[in-house]
Amino acid sequence: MKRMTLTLGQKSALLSLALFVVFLLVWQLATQPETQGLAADVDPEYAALMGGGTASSASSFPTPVQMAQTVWERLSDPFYDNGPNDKGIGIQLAYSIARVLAGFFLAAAVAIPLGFVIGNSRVFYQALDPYVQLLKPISPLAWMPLALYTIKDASASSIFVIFICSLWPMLINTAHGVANVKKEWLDVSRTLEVNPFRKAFRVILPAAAPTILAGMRISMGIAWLVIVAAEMLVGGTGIGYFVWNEWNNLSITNVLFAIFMIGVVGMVLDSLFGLLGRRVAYQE
Amino acid sequence: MSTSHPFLQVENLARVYPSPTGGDPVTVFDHVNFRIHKGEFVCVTGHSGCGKSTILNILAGLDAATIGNVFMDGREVAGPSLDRGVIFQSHALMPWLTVLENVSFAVKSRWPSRTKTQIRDHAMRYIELVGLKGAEHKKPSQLSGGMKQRVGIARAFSIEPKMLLMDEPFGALDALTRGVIQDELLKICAETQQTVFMITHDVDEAILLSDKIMLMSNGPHARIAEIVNNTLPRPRERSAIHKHAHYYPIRTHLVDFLVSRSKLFGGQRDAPDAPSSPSVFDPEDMVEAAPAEATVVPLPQAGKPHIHLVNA
Repeated sequence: MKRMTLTLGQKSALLSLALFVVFLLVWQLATQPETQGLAADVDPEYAALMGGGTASSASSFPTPVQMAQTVWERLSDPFYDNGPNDKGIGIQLAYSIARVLAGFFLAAAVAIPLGFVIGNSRVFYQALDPYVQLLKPISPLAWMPLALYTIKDASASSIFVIFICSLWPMLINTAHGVANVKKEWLDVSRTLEVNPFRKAFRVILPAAAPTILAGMRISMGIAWLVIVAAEMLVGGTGIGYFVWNEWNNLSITNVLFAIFMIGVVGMVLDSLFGLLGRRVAYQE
Repeated sequence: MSTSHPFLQVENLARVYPSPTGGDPVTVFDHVNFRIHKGEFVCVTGHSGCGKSTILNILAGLDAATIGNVFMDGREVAGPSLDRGVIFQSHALMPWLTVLENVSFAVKSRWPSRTKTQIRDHAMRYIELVGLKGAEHKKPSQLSGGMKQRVGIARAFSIEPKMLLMDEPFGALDALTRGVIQDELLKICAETQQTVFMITHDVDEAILLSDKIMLMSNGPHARIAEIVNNTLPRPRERSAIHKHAHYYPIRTHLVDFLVSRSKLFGGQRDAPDAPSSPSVFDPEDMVEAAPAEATVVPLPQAGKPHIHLVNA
């Protein structure tokens, strides 16, 4: 009865695999070209006139095998550059990641120090709270026309949009984390006459780090969601532009491939922050 | 222990809190006067809400008095200082630092210009003193409650403060652990001649550790109602002190105070805020006069003042 003694990890791995097989099967059945039926009923000449002979009824939605071929081709040459409308997936993703990182770190550079100030001062907290509450729910893309009008540069505008959407979770979490540093730790540093600079970096920052990092993780998640939409709007380069371009080319295979890659990159970015979060976590 | 020049002098301390319901402000304690001499171990006990912790926080400089002054070594206490080490009830260790880093943090605060090795060696000496050698690279979450409190003790002693303030340091520990750490504290204090102000609810702890026990009446308008001179000779052994003739008179006196006299004290004044002086209990008087029964001193008549008191 060895099969009954699978570990939890093995069980979930098996279930994951089974789900994947079912998914492929459904996909295959849904996209299978109905070649035999057509070949029997329709005059081949007529079929040829209708464009493409026996394969005519195959939709532009790929079968799993076609998809796998595309993924393989595209991933084996990710960095080619054949002009503005034909670049490798690696280049497109690199543009997007660069914009996200630029906007994200600009936001962190503003949000974390500002959050420190807000978290340390009730007056600042209450003074800035209405602005934060008003600005936070605005869709970042709503800023796009304003950004394009003032900055007059498409790429910089999308960085600005990333900046503005990354700002709020980091600002709010930093302020919250700093405001909730345990009083006893602050009392300890007061009795030890720790200077404000050292207190900020050795006591408040590590105490608030898990909360700050949780905010950064949320910001990064939102930034990666927003960059796709932003690049669809501004065009030129990036994974968002790639999706839109391939939709205009009616290449559903490439669109699907891009969707898949957006998911992979998003997952990697998120788990990086998860890893960082575990490094600064502490157990009381 | 000379009576001439007190090390710590508390004059007419009072703390008034605004009423939470918007009524009259509440005076938690007032007319609090006492002195502590260098090398003296003073315990304070009293029921919850009499303002013991507030007094300790004022001594630490973490809280401010509404009225009154605190002088240490001739200088007024106006804020926290490295001269006064604090051991918190909740140990207050930083959970992201190891034991060694927690103590080193304090040592570096005290002597910022020391080298890394000097700081480390100094911190290790105090970690060894509390018996935690081998656990210096552990995080507080990996330690038991007793070990955490030892780190707190090591941290407070490591800065070599002029005075140590302890707010019920062993309140959260089980009885066995508490006993072990009390013995260690007794030993360390004997070695370092540390001046200590300690809050405790544990009568036996107070008897084992202190030179002088201050008893606080219940609030509002709490006072230091009585001062007990702990005449048990040092060095003290937990297993032997109860055999001394003064042990039971002191213990009975303390328990009687906490059970009955602490709540009566306020009613014996003309007005709630009228000044009062603590009476002094000294078991030497009692044992000579009436060894068995008369362990309770009637309140208004003070015993022989062995220590000089500041009049309110």
